[in-house]
Amino acid sequence: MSGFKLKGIFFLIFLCFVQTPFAQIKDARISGDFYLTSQYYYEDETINAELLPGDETLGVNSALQLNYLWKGLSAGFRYEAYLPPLLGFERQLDGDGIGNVFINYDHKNFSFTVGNFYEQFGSGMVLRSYYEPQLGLDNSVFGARIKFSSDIIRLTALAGKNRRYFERDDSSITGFDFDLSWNEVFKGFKENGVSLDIGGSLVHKDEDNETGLVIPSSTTAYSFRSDLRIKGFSFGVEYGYKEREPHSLNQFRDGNGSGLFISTGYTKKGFGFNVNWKYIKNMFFRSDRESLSNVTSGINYLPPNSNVNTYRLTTLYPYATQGNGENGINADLFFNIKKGTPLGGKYGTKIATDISYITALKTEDGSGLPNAEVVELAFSDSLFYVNWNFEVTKRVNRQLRYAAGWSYIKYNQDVIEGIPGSGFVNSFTLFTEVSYRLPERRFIRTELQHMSANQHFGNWLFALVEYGWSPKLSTYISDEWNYDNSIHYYSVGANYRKGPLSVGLSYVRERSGLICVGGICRFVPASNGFRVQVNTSF
Amino acid sequence: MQRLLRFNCFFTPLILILLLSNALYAQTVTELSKGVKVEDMNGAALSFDEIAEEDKGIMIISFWATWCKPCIQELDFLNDMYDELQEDMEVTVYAVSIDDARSSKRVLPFINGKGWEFPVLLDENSLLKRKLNVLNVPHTFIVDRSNKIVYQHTSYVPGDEEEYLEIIEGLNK
Repeated sequence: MSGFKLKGIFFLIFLCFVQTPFAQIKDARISGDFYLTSQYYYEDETINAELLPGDETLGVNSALQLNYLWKGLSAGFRYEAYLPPLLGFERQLDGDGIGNVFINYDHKNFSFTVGNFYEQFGSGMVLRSYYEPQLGLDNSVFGARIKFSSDIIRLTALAGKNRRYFERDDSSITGFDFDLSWNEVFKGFKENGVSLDIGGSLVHKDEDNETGLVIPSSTTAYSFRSDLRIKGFSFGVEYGYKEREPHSLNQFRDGNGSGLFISTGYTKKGFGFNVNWKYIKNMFFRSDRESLSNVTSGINYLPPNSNVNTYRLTTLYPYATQGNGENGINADLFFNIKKGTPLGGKYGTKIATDISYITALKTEDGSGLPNAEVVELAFSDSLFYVNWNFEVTKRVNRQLRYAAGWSYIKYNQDVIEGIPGSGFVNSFTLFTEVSYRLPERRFIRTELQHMSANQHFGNWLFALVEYGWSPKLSTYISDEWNYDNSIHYYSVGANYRKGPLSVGLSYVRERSGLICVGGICRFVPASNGFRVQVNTSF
Repeated sequence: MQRLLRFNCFFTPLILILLLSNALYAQTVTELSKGVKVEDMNGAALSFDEIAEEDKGIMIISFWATWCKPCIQELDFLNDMYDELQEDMEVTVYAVSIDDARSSKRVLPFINGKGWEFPVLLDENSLLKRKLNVLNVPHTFIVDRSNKIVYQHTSYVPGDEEEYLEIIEGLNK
């Protein structure tokens, strides 16, 4: 065990024992949270499920966060353990230690932080550090940050290094961001239902060049943004620019990067409409130019221009942002059929539909590569992803509620999964979900889904039944049946919940697939085994 | 296996101590959320502890996202009984969206499409979520008139809101 880990554990034990006296200091508080996910793996040749590397059978991902708060002061740390990491997580996480430690002091309009911190400038186009344990992602910046905020202006300055597993990337990052609310400057704005915010960011990265290539050792990126709302109308624009930065993810191609996000919409009670257009060219901003991982070493965040599909079969073909170049449009429409009308019934009927259409960049040489000359604003013939979803949700009476709809997905497997020659997958899924309340706070919930696809795995049928024995305990059984290949992926489990505690026990036979959060995906191989999940906070 | 044993020997007593000692006192939402800014639906940056300080009634704080089905189901139910909650029980529901830049622009059209009556706040980089030690959504808090967290609950199944009503009735006695 390294000295660092040992120190961390002593620190933990120390905190444990001094907690009660601490709690007696007036206004001092301890808070925290804990999660553990563990799976026991079996080999299963039918679905190509293997054990963990090194033939280990048991994987554990776990973390304990502890925070100490006293007036404006807060300090905390997160102890993380991957012993070894679950299947589909990066193997470099293997081990345990303090993954995050910070001290923060707030005084009037100022906030000071040293240690690990999370930050987002604008939409994150030039900087976002965040924590996403489902991906094994934590690119918190380790360093120092100062913030000033008033009603009119918010300023942030920071410097540090990105976290990478239990260590840090070598490059240094410095950043500055401002945000200005004009509606606080001009009082007339508010009276007329107008709000205008503008902001800008500057981020600089320094990284020693040890590649032997003639490439710049530092890169600067900046962005500007503006958000305007006039009553129900909204219009937002964000433009980002990044200097030359050859790295592994753009195959060391030279050239600047840029991004343009435009969002506009109209909304009023019972109706909402929104369109997003996103153009991205060579915008992966990296804290380690040689890293090939899409989970670590990112400085910025490029949100995918598609919606999150949640029904099980529709998660087979998710979109991952193509930071080297993409051009896409996404539109959402929501409306409510009023209660009391024939279609609205007693509680109203909710309808949601959305379309995403994403292509490669249209370049003059037709290559779509990040360093090629781009024919601005145009969609290319090279399609990446198309998705059309339609969903109706309705509460019929106090007991019965249902949702039903469809999802069409056209998915460029070559590009999104990086498997050349696999071509497109066209899939059409019909889904329905029904939940019914029974007396004594029991309930039953069912899901039924069918996916037709001519390529890849072919057709699927999915069924789930969940029964709630009480508000605290429920059990479920599900089967995801790939009937073209006669393979059943079944799962059975129980969930117990009490206050902030939830405990889940299940047996799963799970297909391989991409787990995606925010357009960043990790591939999870097929698995067979028992799973335990515990979450709590205090 | 040996590594795991060490891990268990260490964690089991720690968790027990923490759970027992924390049962002794209640936390206030203002202390936990100090210094955190959230955005309202007009784009204004607001300090969450100030929102809590100004609210003299009972608060239900529900963390949700546009992609979280149980969250939406819970908030739909809270919305259906919101008149009663607000007028008879002095409750305000704060629906805190953790949608990040991917889906945060959908939040306003989404809630209008739903016709939700209560205030919705954006926590785009999950800062408030982490401060309140929320691991997964949905996660719901009930906060009394002196800002103490009297109840919290993770996940949602049909019928959970009846438990919320019991807690709130207890606070209104």
